[in-house]
Amino acid sequence: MRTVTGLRDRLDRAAVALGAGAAASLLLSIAERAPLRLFSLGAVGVVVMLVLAAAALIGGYLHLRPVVILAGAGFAAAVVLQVVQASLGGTNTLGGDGSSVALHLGFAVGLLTVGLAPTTSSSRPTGRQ
Amino acid sequence: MYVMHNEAATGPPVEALAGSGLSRVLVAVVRVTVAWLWIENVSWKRPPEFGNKSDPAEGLYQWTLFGVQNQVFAPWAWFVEHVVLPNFVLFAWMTFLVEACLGAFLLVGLATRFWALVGVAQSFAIIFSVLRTPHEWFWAYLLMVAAHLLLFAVAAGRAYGLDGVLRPAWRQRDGLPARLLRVAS
Repeated sequence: MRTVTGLRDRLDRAAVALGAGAAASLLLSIAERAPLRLFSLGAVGVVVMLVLAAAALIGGYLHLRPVVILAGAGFAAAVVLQVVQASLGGTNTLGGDGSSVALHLGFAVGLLTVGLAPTTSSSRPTGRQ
Repeated sequence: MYVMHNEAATGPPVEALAGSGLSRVLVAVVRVTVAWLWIENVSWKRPPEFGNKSDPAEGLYQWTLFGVQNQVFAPWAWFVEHVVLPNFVLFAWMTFLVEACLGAFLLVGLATRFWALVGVAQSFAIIFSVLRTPHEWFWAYLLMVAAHLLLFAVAAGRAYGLDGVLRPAWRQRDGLPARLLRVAS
């Protein structure tokens, strides 16, 4: 097994970027309407997103991959919660909409991919571009 | 920068696409902007009814009806009338899922070329439904197709996307997932 050169550092930087992106994207839920308002989120949803973004930032900065995976799993849980509640047509705990589902899905996929990506290679010493 | 060829065999040299830092930033900006287009437009597709039980019809149900009322392409209108509308909730959830995934994957730049092609297909589905709907600006839909074709052509996820981060690892693995991801990115 060989470590892919520099991959761990790149994955950690990607986790930091995703965490920063998640926090920054909240700015697009503040304005009254589009184009500066692109998704909706209630107070609980904002707090949840800030906590998960902070976890991604900290996990990436401190090279703690389990924390990055937890942040990704948290975003995935937020997606499931919103879809289930929307399909039932009742409570909306996070105060989100379809756009927040898509946004959370992006950060879930991104952070889980970064957190779970293998950093070793056993089969191809060189590869195609 | 020029890619050198044997002119006798392959014709004149082909100038490579610009690869500067600024170009990479701009490619990423276009990718993220297209992602937000999909993300923002998931908001008005509201489960669980998606506008079906409203009187008059609204939301996704209303826009699906437009494909029949303002026919663009006869086979598509027939498909919408006889297949989609009788099974509307199923197709509405599929639309919700596909468009949420388009926004999600294009935003982080993962499997970007695959999702760019999905975006082209979804854009054509929208074109066939609403191109002749009054007050619609048809260039908007053609620009959607063009934007996704561009994301595919330049493999946009390799510029500040996860494709660019992970392709070195995928190149060094032989498994089916790695091969598929190399193709999709």
